[in-house]
Amino acid sequence: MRVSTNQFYDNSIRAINSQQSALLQVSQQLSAQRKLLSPSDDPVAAGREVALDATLKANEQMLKNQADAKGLLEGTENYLVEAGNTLQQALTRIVQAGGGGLNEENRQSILADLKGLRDQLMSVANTQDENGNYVFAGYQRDSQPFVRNASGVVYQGDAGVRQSQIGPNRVIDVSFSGSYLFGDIPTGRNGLDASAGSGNTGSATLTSSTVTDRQAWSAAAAYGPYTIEFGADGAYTVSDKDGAEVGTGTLGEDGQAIDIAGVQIGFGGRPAEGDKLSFGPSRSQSVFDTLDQAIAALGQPASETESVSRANALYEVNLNLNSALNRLLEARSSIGSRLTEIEAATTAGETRGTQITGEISRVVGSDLETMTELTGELAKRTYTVQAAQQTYTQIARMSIFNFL
Amino acid sequence: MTTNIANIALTGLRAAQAGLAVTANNISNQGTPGYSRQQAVLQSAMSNFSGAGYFGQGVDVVTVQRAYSDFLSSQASQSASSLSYLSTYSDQMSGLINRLGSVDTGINQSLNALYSAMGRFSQNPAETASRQAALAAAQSTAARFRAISEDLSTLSQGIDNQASATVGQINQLVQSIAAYNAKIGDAYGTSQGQAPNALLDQRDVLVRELGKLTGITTSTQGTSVNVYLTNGQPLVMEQVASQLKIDTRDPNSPTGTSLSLTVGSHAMQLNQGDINGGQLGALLQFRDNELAQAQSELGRLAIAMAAAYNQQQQFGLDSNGQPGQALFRIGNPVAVGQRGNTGDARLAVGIADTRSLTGSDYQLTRVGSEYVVTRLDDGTELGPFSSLPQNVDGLTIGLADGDLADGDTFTIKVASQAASGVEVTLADPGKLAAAAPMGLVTADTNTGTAQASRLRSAESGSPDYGTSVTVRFTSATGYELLGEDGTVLSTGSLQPPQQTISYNGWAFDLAGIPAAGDTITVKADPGAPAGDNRNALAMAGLGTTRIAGGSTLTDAYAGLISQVGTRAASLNISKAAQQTAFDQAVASEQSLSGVNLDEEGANLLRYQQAYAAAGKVLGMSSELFDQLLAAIH
Repeated sequence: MRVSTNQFYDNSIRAINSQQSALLQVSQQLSAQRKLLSPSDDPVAAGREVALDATLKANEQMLKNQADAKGLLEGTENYLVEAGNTLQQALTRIVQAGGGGLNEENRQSILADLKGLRDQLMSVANTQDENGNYVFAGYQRDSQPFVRNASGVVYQGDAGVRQSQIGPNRVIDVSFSGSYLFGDIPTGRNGLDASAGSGNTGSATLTSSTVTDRQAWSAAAAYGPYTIEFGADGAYTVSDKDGAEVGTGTLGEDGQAIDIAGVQIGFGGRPAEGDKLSFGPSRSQSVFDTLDQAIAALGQPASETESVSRANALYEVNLNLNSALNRLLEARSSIGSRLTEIEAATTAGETRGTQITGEISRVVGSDLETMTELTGELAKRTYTVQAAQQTYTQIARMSIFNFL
Repeated sequence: MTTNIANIALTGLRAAQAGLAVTANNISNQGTPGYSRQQAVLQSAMSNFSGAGYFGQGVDVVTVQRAYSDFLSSQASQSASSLSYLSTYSDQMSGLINRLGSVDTGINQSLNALYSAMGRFSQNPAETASRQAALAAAQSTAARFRAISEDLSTLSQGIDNQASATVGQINQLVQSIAAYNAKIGDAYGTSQGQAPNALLDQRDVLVRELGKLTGITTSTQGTSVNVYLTNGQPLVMEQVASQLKIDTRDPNSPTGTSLSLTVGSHAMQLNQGDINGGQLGALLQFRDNELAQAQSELGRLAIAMAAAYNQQQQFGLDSNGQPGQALFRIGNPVAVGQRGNTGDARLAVGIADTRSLTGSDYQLTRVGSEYVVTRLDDGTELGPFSSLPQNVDGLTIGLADGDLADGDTFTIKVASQAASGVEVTLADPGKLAAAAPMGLVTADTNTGTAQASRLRSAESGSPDYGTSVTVRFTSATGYELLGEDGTVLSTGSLQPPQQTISYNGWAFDLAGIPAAGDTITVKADPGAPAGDNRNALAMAGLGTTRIAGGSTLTDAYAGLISQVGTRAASLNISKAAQQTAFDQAVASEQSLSGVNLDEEGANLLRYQQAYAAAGKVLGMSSELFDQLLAAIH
């Protein structure tokens, strides 16, 4: 085939050009430390990098959220421990007060202690975070949730619970409302609340109130509260909230317990005629009302009747405080399980972050293997360019006119 | 006899001289573009008859011929045209992909920053700093959308300028070719049919240059070359040149640009696709297809973002407990009348409610006295309406002036300018709506797998976030809405895959399959702005929600980059293949027509020797004559 001189020069120059542009590409890749320079080099990889990068950022955000949520929950747990200790102390003092042989001096000291503990609990319930927001106010974090007025302590927050997203499809609660922790505590125990009439003149003091047949009680609870009214010689009538009689009986010689509607009400002492005991389904009551109740009971002077009514009041207080403590424990255990979940999510998220980072560097070719490959490529390209240059100069020297 | 020998020798000298002259011309034109190597064509002269037979009378120089093949030349022209088309297209694609951005410069980084700022905001809804950061991130995302859109518009303007310049070049070439047709005709006339090689070469160069600018076909008529556009419209007919015109501000063209061709005194409109191939074809196709599509895709992303964030933001309550206002607004739609409309209408199209936008384009047609709007995505007809303006899918479609005549059609392009006008409408960070007025309550007793999420606002004439509504499923797809007192307010059915239930200005998404009897309550439960973060959480969650046609915003953007990148990559491959085809075609052509200096050098020697030999014969014939004279003396 004939070769025109122009074509020969053009071809050689084009060869050098294309070799040089390939060399430039490799050297740019090496200086950028990545193989993917423009999306058109590898469109699939480019799209994938954008998507992976977004996943990585979302993962980082989740890790941040998890750390925030963890901090919030741990902070809350500290407050709950403090509140629990306060309640525990109050309970200890109340048990002491109910232990009998309570002299005037002890009564005053317990009373003073309880008042102090009540204020302490109040300050925990009105805790503010570093921004001055009330932690236990539900959504109404800008106003003090527990406020004392003439009728006692009232809750001014709401039941709102702050949430946090700790995973793409996982949102967890990171706060407790004051009403849940302190405000709406079920009275009594196991859904049964018992109390003695305030005008009782006998010596009967409540000692136990147990649900013996859960099925029977859950059917009967809706008709409560029930009233047990004592007549002469231990006879008694039980009527429901509408006054309908549901049972009668007579206390035995040493009968200190009444079984009815699946519950057993136990008491010591002897009821006088006209005395009343009542029992019913748990109500919800604020822990502050319970403490106020204890303080009121202990504020009474120690006469015979007063001590019976105090004992009955303290019986109720005892159960209610235990219920409040249980609520705090319940909250703490749920914090515990959430913290476990967060930790698991964080571990998984960190691993995932490492994986995604690795995948991105493989996709864009910034991993070690690709870099090694590129370094080898650079040497090869340099050699090829030199070869093309040498070929050109050698062949260009050949001409018939050298011999004419 | 001797005079005869001298004459024969003279023809030999002349032939050798001609050969030397042609070789010298070849050597001189070795670098001339389009030059075809020439050869002197020789023929033995008419013989003289004598009794002893025919004696040759030497050699005649018949003509000078160029080494030229129509087939090889047109093949090279074709591939030059294709290469010019592909390399222009591919260069533009590289420009586009660079402007759309990579992982570091694209919208995705702004979006990621927005998600992260919204995340912080959801954790600290009452903190001014985090609200401020979320608003700033939204602003910078809007700015990024605008910047990329602006870049694409600049690209489009650049193409307009380039196309105008190319049209100018085409017109010049067309006129030159017509002029050359005239010159060549004259040259043939005066030379009695001898080919004017240089003129022919030069005209071939012009035709090839024209082919690089736009796709053409050619035919020969006598000594002229006729040139046509690929749709058959003539550019050059013998000595008559047509004229191409470009209008970059045509209100009736969907792309804003139109071309027309004037043949003689007759002007005709060229349609999209009439210009095919070459640089101009590449520019127009790139702009009408790739660039317009990229603009629209970007616009659709902007619409999806604005709609989703506004749906959430307008559901919530701001830091003063007031209903949230829209966070984003977007650029207005563009309405283009169809060529051939007979009415004098100019449309006024605006956005009524960002939350209801679908991202689709629409068509408005007048049928009789009514107006029909068609959603082009799925072909759904909306209307007919007896009057304008109308609110359709979040748009207001009205008349600026005039009216449509029966059969007139307008295309309403919603997405094309959407990204260029993305802006944050809120200035006060306190206006971000972190609290929610309602909450979703899924009954504990539900037995189906349905899960409700993303309770948000929807366009409604009478939004009511103060009344609880219970959704009770009557089957896996049917449901009824119950009021607070248990009365049935309305019934509906789910249409998978889109499972959205809306009422009274709220809407929520459903995943999974409900069982009959399951209930989900949309409960009026206004949260205090000081602490409620439910709506902020929902806004933060939009980063991982599939709000852009089945994928997240970032994934949709990644898809756009992949898509444009794939086109760019495949064009690069086509370009490389075409480069090889072009090289081969040029090699074949050059193999025939190109000058090889070594060959010419060898010819130089040959003709020199032929000249010397003929000279020797002449000398010898004169010697013979001298000898004869001497013998006579």
